[in-house]
Amino acid sequence: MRSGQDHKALRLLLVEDEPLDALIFQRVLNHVDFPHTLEVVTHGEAALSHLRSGAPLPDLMLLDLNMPRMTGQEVLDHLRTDDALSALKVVVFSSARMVDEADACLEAGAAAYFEKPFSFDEYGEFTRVLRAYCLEGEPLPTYIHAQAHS
Amino acid sequence: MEDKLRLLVVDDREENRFSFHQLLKDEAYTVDLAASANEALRLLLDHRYACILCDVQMPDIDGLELASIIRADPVLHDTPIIFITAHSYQPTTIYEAFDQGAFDFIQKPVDPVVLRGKLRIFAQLHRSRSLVDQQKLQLETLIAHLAKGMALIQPGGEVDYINQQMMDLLELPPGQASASLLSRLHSLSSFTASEPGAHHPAPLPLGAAFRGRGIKDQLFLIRRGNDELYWQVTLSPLAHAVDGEHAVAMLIRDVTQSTRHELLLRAKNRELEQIAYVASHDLKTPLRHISVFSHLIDDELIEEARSPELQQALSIIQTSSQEMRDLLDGLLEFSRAGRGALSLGPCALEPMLSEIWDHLDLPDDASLKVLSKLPIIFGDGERLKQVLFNLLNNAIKFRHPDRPLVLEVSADPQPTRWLLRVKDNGIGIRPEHQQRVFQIFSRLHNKDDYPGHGLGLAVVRTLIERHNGRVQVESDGHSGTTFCIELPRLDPMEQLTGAPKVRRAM
Repeated sequence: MRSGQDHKALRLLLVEDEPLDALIFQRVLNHVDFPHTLEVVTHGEAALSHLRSGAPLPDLMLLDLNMPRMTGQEVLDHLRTDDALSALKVVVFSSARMVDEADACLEAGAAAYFEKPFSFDEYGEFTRVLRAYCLEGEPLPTYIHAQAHS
Repeated sequence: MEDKLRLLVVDDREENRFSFHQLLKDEAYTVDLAASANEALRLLLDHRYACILCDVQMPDIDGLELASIIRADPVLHDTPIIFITAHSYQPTTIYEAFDQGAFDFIQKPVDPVVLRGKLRIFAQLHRSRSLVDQQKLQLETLIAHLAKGMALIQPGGEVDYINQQMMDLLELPPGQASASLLSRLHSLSSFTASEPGAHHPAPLPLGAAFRGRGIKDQLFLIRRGNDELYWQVTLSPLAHAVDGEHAVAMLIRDVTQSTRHELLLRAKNRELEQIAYVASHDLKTPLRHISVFSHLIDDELIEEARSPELQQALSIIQTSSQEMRDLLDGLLEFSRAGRGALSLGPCALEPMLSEIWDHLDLPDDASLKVLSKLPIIFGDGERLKQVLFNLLNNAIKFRHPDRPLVLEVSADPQPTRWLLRVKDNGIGIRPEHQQRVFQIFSRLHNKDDYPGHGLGLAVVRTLIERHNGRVQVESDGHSGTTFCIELPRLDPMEQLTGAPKVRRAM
């Protein structure tokens, strides 16, 4: 966070059981130029109890789908039926590139669906979208495509 | 010209027989004569008669006795009988003797006009009865050969008709249908079977059917000893009701074999879906890490450490990861083509084709010719779009380097199907390779010449087959390729009403 800017820091909550994916994501965020904070929880139940702990809600939740015990889909279902959390913006991170899976997530209330990239370059579009959302207040696109940031 | 009707005259007096014969021989009748009841019975063994003219007073067995014998016979019992009575005879005794079966009487001396009139009526009766008998026989033959068990049950449990199949299905003792059917049905151990795995006891709703509420093709699980059977049951109340109670036609088809196959298939499909999920999520995760961190090494490597060999090794890891990623995505796309319900509706192929054409990455000189009006197909729009997209994409990819790409699309109506042709003037497919092109990951060319994973046509075939269609390839191996697609045709009426009845693909 740089001082002197008008923008609040973007509060991010990452729900990711795979330590390497969390590490990659942290690394990606180390290189962005917009103010943010990141919290990481490693499973769905932890995410729900964090959200219900009374702490300020994150601006954006980044949610892995394929997790043990409670899947990302189930987390979405819990959020949707909880009045206090149903407005929370969620970007689903999936290992897959499946149209029907994406549709199911969007239907369950996710704001966007994103296939986990295969290189840091491919995170470019994602960080551009985050930046625009954070700094310019642009809406999130429903599908975020993995492509290098030009 | 109708066959002559056969009559039997039974009279012990020669002159009477003679006069009947004279009286009737010019009519449309064949007349047999019997001098006694015994003689009549012998003739009745060999022939069926439209009517019997019978003298009442005869020695030994008289006319009334003869008639009782005939009435008691299961085959002859409904043969019409006209009694020839003397003046003095009281017809009421005849009424008392025979309260059923067609009969009449005529007084001596016989009035030819009256006799002919009566015979005409009986002849008519005989003809309609033969017709009904014939139809009944046809129907019974049909029912006897049905694959289904069939029974017609009165509300009290009395069985009007039952075929052998039903006797076998319910394991009823021969000849005991009426006596044991209801109790057998009530003692059946039957369960709901619509949800595999979750069975609840469910008696066949025969009582409701007697009260007019039937069921159609409902699946039941029957437990009998150690056997689990699947029965498809129809209980159909007949329209006519007495005191609100209907007779019920019960049809049972044993679908144990096919249901077991279906359940097995469903389980296999679930397994496949699981594998597809694992392939898409779990297999990709370590691969993604290999890829990301090899890129990381690439980025972080200091120039002094970057030898050509190391640089090449990093590139290989990255390209191979990408390759593996594409293969996994391809596997997923292929498995997805075979799964998930089709969402069916009328699909106009012509606008679909031009929409796809507009979105293709086309060479400048490519042209599309639609040679005939393209039909409306009843199918899944998104999936049919993918079929066309893959075919067109294939034609672009395998276009001939020396000639501009020309694509020709046409449709021929066949009696029940549409035959669509997508013809290109590309490099063609040699006959010995044509069977292979629809297999997944099957490629005919070196990857450096033509990139891809041999997936497009495999997806095409899967999707077409899910639409109950067929796809074939024709090519001489050098001047181009034609893909011939057969798809079920919409009935013109159905096209208009938008109420198609095409079978939903599984």
